[in-house]
Amino acid sequence: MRSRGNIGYGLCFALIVCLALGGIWPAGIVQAAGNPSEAPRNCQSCHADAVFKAGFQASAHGRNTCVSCHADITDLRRHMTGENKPGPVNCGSCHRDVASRFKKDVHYVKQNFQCQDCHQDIHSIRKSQGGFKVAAVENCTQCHSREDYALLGHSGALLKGNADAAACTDCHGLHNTPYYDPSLERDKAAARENYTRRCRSCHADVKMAKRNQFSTKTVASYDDSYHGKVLNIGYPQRVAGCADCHLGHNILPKNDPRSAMHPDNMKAACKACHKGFHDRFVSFDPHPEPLDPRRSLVYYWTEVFMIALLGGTFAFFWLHTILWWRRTYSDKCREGKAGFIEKTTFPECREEKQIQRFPVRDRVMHVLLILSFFTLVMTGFPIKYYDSPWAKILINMWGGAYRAGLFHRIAALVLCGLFLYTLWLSLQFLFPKKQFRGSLKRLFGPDSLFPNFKDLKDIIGMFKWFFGKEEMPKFDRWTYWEKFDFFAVFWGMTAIGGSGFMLWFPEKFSYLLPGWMINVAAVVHSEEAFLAAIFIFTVHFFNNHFVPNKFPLETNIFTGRYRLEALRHERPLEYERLMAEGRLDAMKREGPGFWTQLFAGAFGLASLMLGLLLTVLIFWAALFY
Amino acid sequence: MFISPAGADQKPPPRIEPRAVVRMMDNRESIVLINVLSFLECMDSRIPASLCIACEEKGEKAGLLPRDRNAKLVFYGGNTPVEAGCEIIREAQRQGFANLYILKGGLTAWKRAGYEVESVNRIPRVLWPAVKPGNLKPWLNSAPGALMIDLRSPVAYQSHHISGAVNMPLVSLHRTYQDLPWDRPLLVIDADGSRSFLAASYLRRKGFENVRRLEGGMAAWQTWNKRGAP
Repeated sequence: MRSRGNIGYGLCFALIVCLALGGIWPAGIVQAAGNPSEAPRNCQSCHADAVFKAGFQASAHGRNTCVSCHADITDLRRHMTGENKPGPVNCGSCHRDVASRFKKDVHYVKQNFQCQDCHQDIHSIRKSQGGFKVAAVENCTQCHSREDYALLGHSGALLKGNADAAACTDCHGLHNTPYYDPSLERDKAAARENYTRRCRSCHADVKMAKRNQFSTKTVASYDDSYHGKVLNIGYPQRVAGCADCHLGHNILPKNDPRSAMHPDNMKAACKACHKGFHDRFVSFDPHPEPLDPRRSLVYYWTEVFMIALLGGTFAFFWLHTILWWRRTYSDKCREGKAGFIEKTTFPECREEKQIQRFPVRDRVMHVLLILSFFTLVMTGFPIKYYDSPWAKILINMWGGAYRAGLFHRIAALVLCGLFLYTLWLSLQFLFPKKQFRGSLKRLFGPDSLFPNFKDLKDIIGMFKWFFGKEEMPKFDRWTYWEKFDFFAVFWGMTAIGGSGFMLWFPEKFSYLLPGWMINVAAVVHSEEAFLAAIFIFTVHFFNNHFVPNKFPLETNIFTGRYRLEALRHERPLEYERLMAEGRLDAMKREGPGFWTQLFAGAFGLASLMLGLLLTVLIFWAALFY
Repeated sequence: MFISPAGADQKPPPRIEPRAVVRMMDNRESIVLINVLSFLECMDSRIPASLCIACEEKGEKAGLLPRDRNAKLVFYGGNTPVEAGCEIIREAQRQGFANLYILKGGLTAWKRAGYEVESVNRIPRVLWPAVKPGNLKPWLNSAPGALMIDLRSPVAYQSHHISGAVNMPLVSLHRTYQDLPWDRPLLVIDADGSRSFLAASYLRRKGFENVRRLEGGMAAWQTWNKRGAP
């Protein structure tokens, strides 16, 4: 059995000696004994341990007197007789800032730590020779075992002499180590955000990266991934931050079997968030670099193809648009000067001279298409350009990233419904009443939206017209740009919808495709979204609304009516065909009523304005962020 | 025929935010704060002027409850929610107290909200690394004769415990620690690792030289067991 009385006896003996000395001490010191602030020497008469003598004088607090900290010892005589026992030291009286921050520190909040618990050598504390970082690791590992937290990874490198390597305090903070309650979602999200930010502060530092031979692309590639974008937009609850995959401590090269990134451990790392996936899911690359062919040829060529597709499409159609606008504008000016143009800013009056161009079904479908498309753009692009100034504003308008994601998916389903319904209508058009005979004729006929040889001739003819070489081509029911618009939606829906579903259900798709296809889907979804949005907001808007003879709005997709005069001029072949077939009279309708025109004008103009605003925002983000 | 213990059919008291408690105090309402953690924990850190009545101490300390049955009693523990079966709360319900509350988030939430606490008899912490569940076996092999002490309640201990561990509830550790062997390494185990630090520090201060704690407590032990030992 261990003796527990030695310390007590020792203290009693010291007290007796002190009292005896007090009795025979020279008069000067006895007088000074009434005033403890005189010098530490008086205290050291009793507190004679080395730690209070040499240790304290050389310590960081050596210039202070004992009562600087033990301020409640006001009467040395009473203290020596045990009547004036010192209370806890209030370090915060000097270290105000530290004390204030420590009130939020996990060690205080959860374990009621006080300063002296970590700084147990407070009477001899001095600057560490190994530097602050090493001292921090040494101090933390008194409780948090060295083997588990410090020997490998960052702290291991620090202890081996790399001053750049992170100490415990670089990630967890000093005197303000935050407390996160694992049972609270908001705390888990805050922890993820905090630690990801801490990792970024070093791993995005170019100078530090150069010194330590690591790449800052790691951070950039994470930020460009779905995980990074969603976390950065302010929704860390449901995506992985750095520590979710790499874990917090003992971060090791991925060929080390103990590393969370070792191929054998990747499944467990993914499983922390994803459930029910095939083993091939782990081939997903959380740090994709699509423009680096050494990382992955598939991403590289996917990215190159998408860039070429975007570049080619915009180059052709923007040139087409500019030339068209120039030609039409100059024609208008000429006609205006000659006094041929009747200027009116009011909608067409109710008149008989209109035909039915779009049935109610098509008009409703277009309104739904517009609504769902805008919803997709306004919920998706803030994620794509998460770091642009407008991204968070837009996301917050939806009520946060979670709700924005919900609206994005609902709009996607609406668009998918429209896509499938259009597919059904197309089949009905080709095979009416299940008649296969004549389907080819219908496919390439004038009422079909399928491209044919005449469209090619029209494109060439249109360019010749732009330069004044020929008359404008005569169009039938559908022009080549309208057919492109229609097929662009079909192509877009396949690419953007397919990739969207892969991103929505990545675990399920891992049973069909390897995990790296999710990376390909992310590239396709993002680039195709840019193509679709900018094409609609620039080319489609111009072709159908901003051409000088239609400006500012062509409402026939909303009213369903088409002016007979416009039909005769813009689609002469259709006009002649309808006349020859004797169908024109049957298609004639009364012009749209006031309320229909009001809706068409308001909804159409609002859509155009919104589209133009989004175009500015998207280009702003694409060019500067 | 089923007979339920008196008060068992009572609804648990509503949870109340720290700022609401402070508002009650500022309004000088008749409010009594009751720390339901162990005596050691309560003396170490509590909301000023709280009563220290652990959940399990209904018989011994029930007399400390105020006479005014209309007084507002606010019970609080540590970070983990006060258990529904906390005996002293049931006792208060049985005695007819009408205004019972549980402090949401306990003492931890109180501190996080920036409110003061008091330490009547603080236990200086002793710094010593914990034993991770995965390292328990190697540690037991390296420390022959080590004794594992389960600090949880007898009910929790009986439902499951690490083989070889003895039950010595934290609520009475200040009375029972002398029964522990002075010359054997000790390993203290709690429910989730949040209370064993104080217990280990207490035992070290009392003269036990080799005291370790199981990191994460029984919760971490069970998680580690589910994942499977490497």
